[in-house]
Amino acid sequence: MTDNKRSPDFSAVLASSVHDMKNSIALLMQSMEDVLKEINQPDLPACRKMGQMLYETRRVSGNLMQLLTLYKMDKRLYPVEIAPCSIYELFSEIAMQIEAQASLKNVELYVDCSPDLIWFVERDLLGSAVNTALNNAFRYAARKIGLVAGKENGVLVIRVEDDGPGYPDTLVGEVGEMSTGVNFRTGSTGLGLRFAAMVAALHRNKGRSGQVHLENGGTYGGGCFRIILP
Amino acid sequence: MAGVFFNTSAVGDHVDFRDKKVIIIDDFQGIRTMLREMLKAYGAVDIDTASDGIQALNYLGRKRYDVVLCDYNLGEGKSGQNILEEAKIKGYIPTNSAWIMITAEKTMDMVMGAAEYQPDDYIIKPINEGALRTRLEKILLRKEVFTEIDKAIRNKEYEQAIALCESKAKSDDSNAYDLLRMKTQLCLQTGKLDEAREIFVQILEDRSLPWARIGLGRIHLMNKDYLEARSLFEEVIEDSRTYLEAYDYLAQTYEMLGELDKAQDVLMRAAEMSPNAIQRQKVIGDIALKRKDVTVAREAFEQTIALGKYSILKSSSAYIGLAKAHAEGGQSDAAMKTLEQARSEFKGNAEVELHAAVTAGDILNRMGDKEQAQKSLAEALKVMERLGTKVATPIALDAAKVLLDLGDKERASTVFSQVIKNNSDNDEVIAQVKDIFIEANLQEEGQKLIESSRKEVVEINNKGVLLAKEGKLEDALELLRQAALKLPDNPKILLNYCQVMVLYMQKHGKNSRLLHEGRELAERVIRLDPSEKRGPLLLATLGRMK
Repeated sequence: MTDNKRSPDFSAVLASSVHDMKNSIALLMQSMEDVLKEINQPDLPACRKMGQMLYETRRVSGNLMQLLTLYKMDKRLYPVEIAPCSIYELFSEIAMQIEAQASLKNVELYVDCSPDLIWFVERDLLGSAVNTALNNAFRYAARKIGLVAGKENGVLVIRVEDDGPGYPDTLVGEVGEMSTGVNFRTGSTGLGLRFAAMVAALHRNKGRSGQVHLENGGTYGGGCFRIILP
Repeated sequence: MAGVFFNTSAVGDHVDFRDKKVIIIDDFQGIRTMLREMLKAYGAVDIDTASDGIQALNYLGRKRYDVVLCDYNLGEGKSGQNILEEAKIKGYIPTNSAWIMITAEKTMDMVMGAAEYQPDDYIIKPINEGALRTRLEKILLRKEVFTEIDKAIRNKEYEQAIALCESKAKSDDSNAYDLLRMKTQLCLQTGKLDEAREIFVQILEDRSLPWARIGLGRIHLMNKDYLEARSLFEEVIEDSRTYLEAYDYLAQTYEMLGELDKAQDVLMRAAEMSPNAIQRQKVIGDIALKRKDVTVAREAFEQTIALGKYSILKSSSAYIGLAKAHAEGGQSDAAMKTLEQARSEFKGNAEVELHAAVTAGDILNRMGDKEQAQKSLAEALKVMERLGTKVATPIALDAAKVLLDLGDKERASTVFSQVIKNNSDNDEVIAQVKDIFIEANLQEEGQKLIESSRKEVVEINNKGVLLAKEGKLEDALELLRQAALKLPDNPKILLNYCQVMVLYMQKHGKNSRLLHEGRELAERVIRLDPSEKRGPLLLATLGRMK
């Protein structure tokens, strides 16, 4: 983005539109959740379809939020707050947001994290990155997803694993902040990965920076998204 | 079976919402209802709702809430932040209550604002029922940890509060950093700079946290090691560009180094990221005015006034500053109009009346209307007499300068003399006095006045010390009490008064009135001059006497 003061800043127009869309989507999501709750019959075909709609809407909402955050980062308008955070609590919050989806898609999400695990993280950004990785796993998992966190050699490692077909070979390896993998599996723009890599890179300590890796195999034999924070 | 499974569950306490008093502040009926239903589902029964700031403050003033859920953006009128600030300043918020700001997005203004007016947490919409509960429980439990410490602070038992922070930090891993941070704040407040430094250094060995580096920088700033302070604050900004507190301290450092242009530049960079921080806008105005950068000063003061529209932090000196900026830019009419606004916005406030009259006198004098200027100053002097020693140094200096410009040397000297005595060891104020006399081509007279006024202070102090040495403690106490009343900003006088109090109590037994007064004096000294080592020592001595 260039800072040309003479011409109107188109990125600012985009950003404010994104902001507006994000608010509408939030209302839409709330209504869908309310409807699902009211019917309260997750096995009805209509409800399954609605679950799919909710999944897509959540994806859009997450994308818009990440777009807006990337914009603000670029303009140095995002207040980065790296503070001690209970990873267990962060996972609980994420799990609660995703619970309805898990039941609807007939997928089991296993969360493995010690309640005492505290790490220095940017809570909101990490939450968003993990959420996106989970949403992606939901798309490809057959039955099982794992969300795991723990300390390994003085760094925090978070893994999102599934029992799906795994990542294509071209994507396996470390994800760079600038990588524009327009093929985040199929149909994706790489925004989620780029965002996750940016979030990881924001976490620095004693000369080390955070990283994101994609692998295949893991506990459930499918894709494994790994974020490492020093 | 589908769903979410945790391999372990947290064995933390759960919060009982049945006895919690809750208020929901949001301008949308739908959201209020949604939040109310959520809180009911957690078990809460006592739930109030408000749709705007005035209604909310009404409730907050009458009832002590355990949980406040407040929307950040409430449309026209007071914002969530305005409500939080006002409620805190008016003492409506018990220390163990949880204030949660609800917002559509995380903004710099909200997160990087002045620390004392920050919410306990913020939640980004859309709100999820389970997630809100987890968050609320966590904050309420955390608040419980701090209740005891807050109580000690309120009772001014700082030693006790520091000890509590230390012992709790050892046993409570999840709050350890917050407890240590609180301990450092208390240490800085009570002048225990070495103890604070030790904690900062220890933390930094483990992790490069911006607040710990800023803490080290603040100690350098207090010790007047400006170059050291500067490089620390610069490093923080280099590493964490959005950590705005570092910009404010860096600007303070540049100001002390006399580099006003750089101070202004740093603050303007911060203001670009967080344009709604009222206090920072005011400081930008003050610095720009000193530099005679009329355009920036005008804009900053106008912004301060606009931001203060619904805020309890609205500042009368922003109006005075704006008037001065207008006058500096040759727009006397606009300047006089601004002063009029200040008078009507702050009706009945003697200090504003005084400052407006002094500034008006200055403007009229510069316009060549000496007669009206003198009238305005006569009015000012009347108010000044009524206010006595409560006149702030900058206002008194302004008044003295205008009197001097008007050729009223006698009255100018009286006011100057009081300012000098009150600030006899404050190099900055003394330099300002010197500059004013130099500008008026009265350098020698100024120097003489400074010397004679300073001598008076030294004599009072010597006399007090002598009386104390002779064992005439009552006489010493009375002499210094009078002096402290007249010179409330003079750390040396305050310290000697405080010291004699201690001697008196050591001889005649402790006395709760003197203990209380002595502590306030010592705290005042620490605020006035953090590099003065006797302040913290006396505060500690008084703490032990309790």
